[in-house]
Amino acid sequence: MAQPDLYYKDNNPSPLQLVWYSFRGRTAAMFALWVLIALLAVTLLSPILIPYSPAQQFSDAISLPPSWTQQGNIQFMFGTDDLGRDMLSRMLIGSLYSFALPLTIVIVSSTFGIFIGALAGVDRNFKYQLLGHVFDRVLTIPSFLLALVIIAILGPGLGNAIIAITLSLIPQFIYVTRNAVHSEWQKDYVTASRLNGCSDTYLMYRVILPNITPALVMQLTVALSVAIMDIAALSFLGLGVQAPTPEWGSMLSRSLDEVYLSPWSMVLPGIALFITITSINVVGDSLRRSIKQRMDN
Amino acid sequence: MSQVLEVKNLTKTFRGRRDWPWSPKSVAVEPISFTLGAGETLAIMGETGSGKSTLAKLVAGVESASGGAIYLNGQKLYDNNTKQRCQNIRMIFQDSEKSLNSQRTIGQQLEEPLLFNTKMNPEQRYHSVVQVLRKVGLLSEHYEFYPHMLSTGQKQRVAIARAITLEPQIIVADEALVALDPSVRAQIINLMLDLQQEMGISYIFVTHSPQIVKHIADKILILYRGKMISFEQTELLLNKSQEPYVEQLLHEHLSTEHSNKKRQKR
Repeated sequence: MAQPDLYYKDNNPSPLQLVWYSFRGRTAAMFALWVLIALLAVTLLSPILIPYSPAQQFSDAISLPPSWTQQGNIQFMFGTDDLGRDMLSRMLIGSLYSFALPLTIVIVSSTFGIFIGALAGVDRNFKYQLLGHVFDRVLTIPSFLLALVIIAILGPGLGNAIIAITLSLIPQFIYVTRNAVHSEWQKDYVTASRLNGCSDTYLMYRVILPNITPALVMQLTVALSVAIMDIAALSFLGLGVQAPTPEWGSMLSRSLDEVYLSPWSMVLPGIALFITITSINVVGDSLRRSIKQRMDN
Repeated sequence: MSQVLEVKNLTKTFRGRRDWPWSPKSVAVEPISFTLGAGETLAIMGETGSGKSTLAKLVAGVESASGGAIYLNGQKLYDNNTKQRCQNIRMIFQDSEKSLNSQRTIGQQLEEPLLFNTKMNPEQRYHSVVQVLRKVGLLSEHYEFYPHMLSTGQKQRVAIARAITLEPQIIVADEALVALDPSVRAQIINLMLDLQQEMGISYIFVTHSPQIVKHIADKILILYRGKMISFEQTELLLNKSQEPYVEQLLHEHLSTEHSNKKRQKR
């Protein structure tokens, strides 16, 4: 039996809660969010979930098709590649490099970028102008190209790819944060808080930060999908994750030679990348719409 | 009557939008001196761009002066001493909606000045905020509200509550009544006058409404292009002034009504 609310209860949703209510009403967005949550869970649990070691070669099951086909074997659910390695294990471990790693990269670069951007946004004079002009120019270079340039200097390899992508994402965070903080800083409510005698840290974290969250959240989703694409692309080109390590981008590039013989070795990592990036973009876009809807009301 | 506020040769120069060392300076407020007694109301009038808002911001501490000094009860106010200033001089903004943080509750925002200027514990702060809310005609329930849940008049009351929380001596109101419709405006004016009697606050009103000025102001300060052209008791200025600019400001509503009638006739 449903329990009726006998007493009137105060329910004052905060603006962020209102965004969540609006977001919750979007079916596609919620679906994409659950996909992402499931993906994150699978990624974090992948060392436990894998049936075989991703490097283990089964000489009796080379290029075995996935289990749902006639020739398939349930022992290897997603089949095996041309060296007889289990595709499912490789995909699961690959998610660590293709999903968890970009997530970490985004967290690190956003921390740096938001911090520098906040510093630059507060200062109205020289620092602001200088950073503004520098980053306006840097941003005309696509982040992937920037990452390529950094790789060209440092040399290929997983560590260098991580450094390159982190560095190439930071300018965007600085730019977005700087602009958001700068436009908020001039508004009356910040002046009012300043006249209340608030300290600078309080002003930044408690007064301004709640108001620029929408911009930051949107930049985070964009940066995440860019980071996933970049690391996959670098690995595809052989500049990122190196050969035996299973990463979706490098798996794609390996499967190019044998795409007619074993198409699943190309399709499966491709689908995984597609699902990941699509759901991130759907979540990001719905978030943007929900925020806009809240602003309009 | 003792003088609460004494302003001596206050000046403000701007360097344009980009504050490079070599960009030319423009003068917004030329040296101005005036005094304000306890419980008095000063109205600052002037046409658009005459520097009246800048003057109010200088007194309230939003912007720092280029020259001159402000004395509060004989003590000099320094730009970097926000504590001293915000405990004694508070500001009410033109747009109450913009001056409230839309992401935080009314209570959180009203606690801000207490948090940084007093040594109250959270419970004392809560009670103090509720008391102030009641004083401006709101309910303790409004503590949990977000600004978008209030009407314009209520928001202005919150802004006033924020101004009186620290029991200041002076409140600067920068066109605080413009955005309100007449009945609400009357309510807010009465509220502010009540508070003045109760707490002995001095007001500095920046306005261009002659009716309000005649109703509440003890003294009028008239600015023209950053220069103070008159600083007088209201009655004196109303009765004796011969200057056309002052005449125009003080009887503006008549002339606009006049021209409206003319326009209608055509």
